[in-house]
Amino acid sequence: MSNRRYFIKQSGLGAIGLSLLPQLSFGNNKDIKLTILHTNDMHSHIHPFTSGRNKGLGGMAERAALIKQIRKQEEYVLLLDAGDIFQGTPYFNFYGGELEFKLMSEMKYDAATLGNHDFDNGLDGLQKQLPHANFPFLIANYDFSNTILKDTFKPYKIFRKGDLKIGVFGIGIELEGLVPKKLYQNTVYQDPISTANHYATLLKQKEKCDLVICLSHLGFKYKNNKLSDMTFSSQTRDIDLIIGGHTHTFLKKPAKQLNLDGKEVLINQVGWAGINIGKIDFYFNQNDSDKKVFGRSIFVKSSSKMV
Amino acid sequence: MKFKLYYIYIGALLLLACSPSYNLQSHEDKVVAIQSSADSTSLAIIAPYQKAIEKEMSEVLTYTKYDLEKGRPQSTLGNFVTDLCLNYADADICVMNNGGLRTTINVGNITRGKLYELMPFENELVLLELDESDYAGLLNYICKRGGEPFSGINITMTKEGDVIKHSTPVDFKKGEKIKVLTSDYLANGGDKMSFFQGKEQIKVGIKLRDAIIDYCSKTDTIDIQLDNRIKVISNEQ
Repeated sequence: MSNRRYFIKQSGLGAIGLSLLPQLSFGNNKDIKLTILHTNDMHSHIHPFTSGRNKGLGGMAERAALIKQIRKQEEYVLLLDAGDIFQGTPYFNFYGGELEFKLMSEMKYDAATLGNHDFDNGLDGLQKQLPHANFPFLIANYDFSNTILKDTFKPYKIFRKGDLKIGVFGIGIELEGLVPKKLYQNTVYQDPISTANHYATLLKQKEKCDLVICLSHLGFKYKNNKLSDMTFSSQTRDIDLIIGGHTHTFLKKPAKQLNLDGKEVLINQVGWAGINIGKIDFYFNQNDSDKKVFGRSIFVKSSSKMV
Repeated sequence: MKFKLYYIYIGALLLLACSPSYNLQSHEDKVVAIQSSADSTSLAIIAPYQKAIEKEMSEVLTYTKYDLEKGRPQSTLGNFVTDLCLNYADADICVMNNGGLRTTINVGNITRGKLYELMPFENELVLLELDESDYAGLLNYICKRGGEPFSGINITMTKEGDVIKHSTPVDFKKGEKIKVLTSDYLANGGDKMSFFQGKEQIKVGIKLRDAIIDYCSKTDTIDIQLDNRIKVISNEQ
């Protein structure tokens, strides 16, 4: 009891002080900065390139060092991957992805989605490596119900960074014609657009996420009418950022598209093989109308009790 | 009284701490090339894996006089792979896909590890027999895509991807079929090569990667250049 009294005195807030609380704590449009780091299509490239035009670039230990350095500078970081972690060097042929997952875990990846090549050793090959990954794979439009990976993956995850809520979900590419059936077995591909609209709206409207990110392995853009991030983004709503993969596209700047509601969606992809990492810093400030609502309701309620 | 106030105060704090919503104001973006020095913890994780495969993967198998690159309508890399595969089966032609060749190879020594990067997949070589109409489908597919790796025939096509003329190594009129060597990935519907659908597949008994590695181990110098297997002409000609 005495401690509690001390606490109230110490905070300098009595019955009147409480009314000032919202302004004291959260006033003056306090900005929050969120740093999104992202990769795609790393394709088992453990080491930097030793020849060719990418000579000296890439490398997972090199990426880890850079990420550690960024984490020292930035308070709120989300590290995400858009799939195709597997396949591309002998490390995958010999170890099946174990080393890739261990290194990504060491880098503290927050989430990844599944690319078509993550099926290259079959569902059992993927299942076998999952214990080496301490981060979740998010995939909303593959139904694994009739496979050995039933209940293994979640469609989305909500991350909290400071006061921010960030919703992240994953969308995969059509497997038929791309991955041999014997590898993906009874995995059912579901429509990316209706699935994305369901989860993005859930995250944005119901869960009130401040930012909704789609990890997509659809591919950036195609000459034909195949669904891509560029066409997907204009047929969906409530997505702020699409982190893409599959087409190994090196974008210098994120592309911008207008969604179904005419709101801007950012689309980014940073090549392949871990040559680059994408860094997007988002700046938020507190929603003024929400702040007023909360301030008022708390003040009225608490003052009536105190009197 | 003050006790109560304390709870209200904490309650207010919790509400405020959990529930404010934020507006996205702006963003800054950049692409950061990975060229930093390596993280020692990660290097230590890599070390035992690297050590176990390093010797085998760094073995030099052959030498290439020219860069082996991807491209359309033909490429040195595509010609290299499809030509060498014909040594491993009794086939009239070999067809692969650009997407399946996963790296380019620079002039100089070629290591076993590089060939794993070129062909990381466990795809096997298979033989299929196509009739005249499926062969036409195959030619059309190659041309519509602006060229895919093939060996054993000559094709002339328009810039727009129409087949003008082609060689035919068998006599369809006599009821012969053309024997096509490809990977089981493509034979099973990969890259939408529909003319392979439903055909009986004869396994050659070797993986594509192993065929490439075997050929390179037995060949001193790779001397592959672009040739006249595919010609692209304008419509007027």
